Amino acid sequence: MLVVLVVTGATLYLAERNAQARYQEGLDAQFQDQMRLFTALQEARRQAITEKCRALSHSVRLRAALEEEDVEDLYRNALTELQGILNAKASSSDKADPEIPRASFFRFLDAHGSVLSPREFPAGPIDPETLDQTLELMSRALKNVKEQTVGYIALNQGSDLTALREVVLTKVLDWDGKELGALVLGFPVRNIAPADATQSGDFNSGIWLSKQLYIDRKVRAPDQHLLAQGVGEAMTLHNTGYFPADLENGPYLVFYKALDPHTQLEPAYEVCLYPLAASLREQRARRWKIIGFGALVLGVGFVASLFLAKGLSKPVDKIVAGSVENFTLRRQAEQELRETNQELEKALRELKTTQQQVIQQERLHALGQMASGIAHDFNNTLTPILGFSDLLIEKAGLLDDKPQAIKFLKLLRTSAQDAASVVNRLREFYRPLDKNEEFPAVDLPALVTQAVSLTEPKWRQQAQAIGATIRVDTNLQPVPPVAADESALREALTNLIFNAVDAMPTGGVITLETTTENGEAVLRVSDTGTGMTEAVRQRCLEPFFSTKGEQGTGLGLSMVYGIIERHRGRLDVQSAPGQGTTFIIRLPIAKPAEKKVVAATFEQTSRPALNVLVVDDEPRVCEVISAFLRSDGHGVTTASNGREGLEQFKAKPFDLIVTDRAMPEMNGDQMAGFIKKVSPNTPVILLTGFGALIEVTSAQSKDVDVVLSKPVTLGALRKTIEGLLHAA
Amino acid sequence: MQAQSLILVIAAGLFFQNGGVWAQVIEGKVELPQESVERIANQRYQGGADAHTGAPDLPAAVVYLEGALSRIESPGAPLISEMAQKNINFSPGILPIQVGTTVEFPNLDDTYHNVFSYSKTKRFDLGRYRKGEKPGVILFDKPGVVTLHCEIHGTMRGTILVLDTPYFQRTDEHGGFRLESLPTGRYLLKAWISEDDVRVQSVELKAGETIRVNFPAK
Repeated sequence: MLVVLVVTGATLYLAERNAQARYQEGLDAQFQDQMRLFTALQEARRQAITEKCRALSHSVRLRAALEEEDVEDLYRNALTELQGILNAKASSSDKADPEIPRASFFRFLDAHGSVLSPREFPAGPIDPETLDQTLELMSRALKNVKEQTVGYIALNQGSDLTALREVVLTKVLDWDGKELGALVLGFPVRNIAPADATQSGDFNSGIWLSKQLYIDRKVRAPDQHLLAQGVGEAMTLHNTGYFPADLENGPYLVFYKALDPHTQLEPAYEVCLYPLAASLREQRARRWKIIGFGALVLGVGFVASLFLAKGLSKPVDKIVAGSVENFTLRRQAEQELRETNQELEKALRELKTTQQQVIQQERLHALGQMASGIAHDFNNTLTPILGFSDLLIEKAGLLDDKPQAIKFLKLLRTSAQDAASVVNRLREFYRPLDKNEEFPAVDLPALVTQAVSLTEPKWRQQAQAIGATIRVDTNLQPVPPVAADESALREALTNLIFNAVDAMPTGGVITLETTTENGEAVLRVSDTGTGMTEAVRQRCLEPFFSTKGEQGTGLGLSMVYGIIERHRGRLDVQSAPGQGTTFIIRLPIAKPAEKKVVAATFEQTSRPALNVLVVDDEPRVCEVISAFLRSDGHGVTTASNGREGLEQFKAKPFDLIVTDRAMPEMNGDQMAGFIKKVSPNTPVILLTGFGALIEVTSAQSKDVDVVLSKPVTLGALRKTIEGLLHAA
Repeated sequence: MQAQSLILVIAAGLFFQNGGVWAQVIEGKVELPQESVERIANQRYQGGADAHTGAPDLPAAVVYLEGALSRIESPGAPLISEMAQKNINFSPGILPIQVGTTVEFPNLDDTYHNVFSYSKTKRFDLGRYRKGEKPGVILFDKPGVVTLHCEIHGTMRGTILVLDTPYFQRTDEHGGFRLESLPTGRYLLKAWISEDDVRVQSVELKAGETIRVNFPAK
């Protein structure tokens, strides 16, 4: 009996605790999310305003008018310039798009901080006397402001947000940097909570300014006082954070964030009230349900045990059944919790869509950077391709020297593969780096040798063309294999060599060394070039930092840095003007197991000859794939679109279909569908130019066994076919 | 006969008194402020958009004579001067004129200019105009300082000094000046470098004399 009681009690306790912990976790995450959104949105909005003000402060006419203290022209011109930003009618403010900030007033201060009163010029719908007095007080801080500051002012004794204006104070300087005065733009302050979240105890926001809290929506005076005090205490410790507060209508989490920790105006804090009441009620109700049900189970068990004292097994069975039910109940409670969360999310959705726009812009920006990086890398990989093919075409005799020709051809292939992987990175861009990403083992000295050969067209021929002689010395000690993305690392090396060449316009020596130090593989790339000043050295890894003027994208070294970081390695730069530069790459050594995996993939097995149908509307691709397959002893039939392929298939059976996806008349997916209807066991390989992007954007057709992304290599095709045969 | 020659002597004396053939001369040098490196750097930075901006006109001061000058009535020919825009700069950077002068503002650049001034001495706005277009013409009828701006090119900055005297000169780039044909008497000689830097010296011009006046930096 005691055992039953203890077990049931413990189960209940654990169930309750577990649910509570999860709930707390969910709540915390939600809270953090919301705050992130809140601040991101505020920042974006504020940035738009401050940018606009900065632009305005550079207006020639405003400067001229301020310099002459010509108030009439000052306000007339400002009114023209501010047309888009000023609130045309105060009454329309509640309907305005919150994303387009509308100023409610603007004023100019002269160089001494006195308000230049606009007199008859309409500069906002607010009583100018109160406003000008308030600004006069604020302007005492003017001399401490460097260029621009954001703050809040209170226009009257009210305690809600309508009493406040967010002000952006921007100094106006003349061309020589002399202070002419300042522009103050004022914006109404809004509750950032979504308009539909009006139920009591909802998310609410306000501003803390000069020991007073300005907030809307039925926050009562004692609560306001409590909150103001709370923020006042918390802010002495941190610029941002949150604390719990017990208000009249329930518990809240209060988030606060200093508007600008360095502001020269009155310190102001953004405050957010995040209600816990609804969620706590929910949680409490659930707790009672669990406890009540547990008590019931216990009671029943106890009564049953009285009646059936001899047979312990029966009540135990019952309790076991009860625990199952208990479990179901917990599930139910979790379900309810999920639903509450969904409701909260709904309230957030509005905020999220606007934030999405901000993110999208950021992403486009980053994509632009990517694109120019890609173009840069792509050109790098094209250099050896063009160089070696030129060599082979011009010196036809080289083709008779078979080992030499094959060496060149192999280098051509390697470069082309690298080009393909550069394009692949566009796709990688959408994929965040997997923390558990594992690289195959790579032999560093071999990679260095390869990179030196690959870059030969640049450091030998190109350098000679401008009359410089560059020698490359290598001192490659054997190093244990490193875990690396071979083509990325090769690209990094290529970039470093190119960089060295560019640093030696009059020739010199590039030295590449590999050693093992402190259990790490170390690669040194040194040049005897112009070297860098300390200032340049410190910045040389930054994106878009370049000393090469028009020629440089400023991306080469930042990319090298990115690649090494991705390999969990380190990149150090040693340099001094006239002393040359040394780049030191340290890479972790691969675990022994990784090597095996790579080795296994290249094992050759005996291959049966297959009858293959190749379908592609691009004759050259068709040709290459056919050549690959024939070289492995397979029989090949080709077709130029889906319909033709299907006819071929009807005429005679095939062991394997290799088809392009996008084709005229009938695409690869449709054809695969028809073929699978007739012969479900015939494997279909779909070739696509978009590779993994398709997996992301649309569901892979069920009629296709494997999707292979172009460009297809012999190895990849062979491996895929072997895999399919194995599976069959 | 004697009386005749006496009259002649007196007439000659009077003639000299009012500054005749042996007109008086003041020459000297104004120590010009070193243009700060900072300002040049500042201009280069902010004028980034106007890559073809030429070097601004070399700094100069204006030296002029002030005092109880006997009014010489307008000699008939109208007073006309010119303030051009060249290489995204006003040329000259500072233009001294006498009250009542009409100034033309020709645009010698291949870009539009829009010269305007909010100065109390003369408010005007010429609007946009380009090379070859008939330039705006402004009559300056009040003495004072007129600061010129171009609405399109924020770096452009020019000054017109409207003076109530016919005796003035813009110094050369080293600050050197030479005012000729001056009347005799006691006057104030002023060197205008900027609104915050106007240097004054009193001078006494005697018949036929050439005096030297230097204006050291304050």
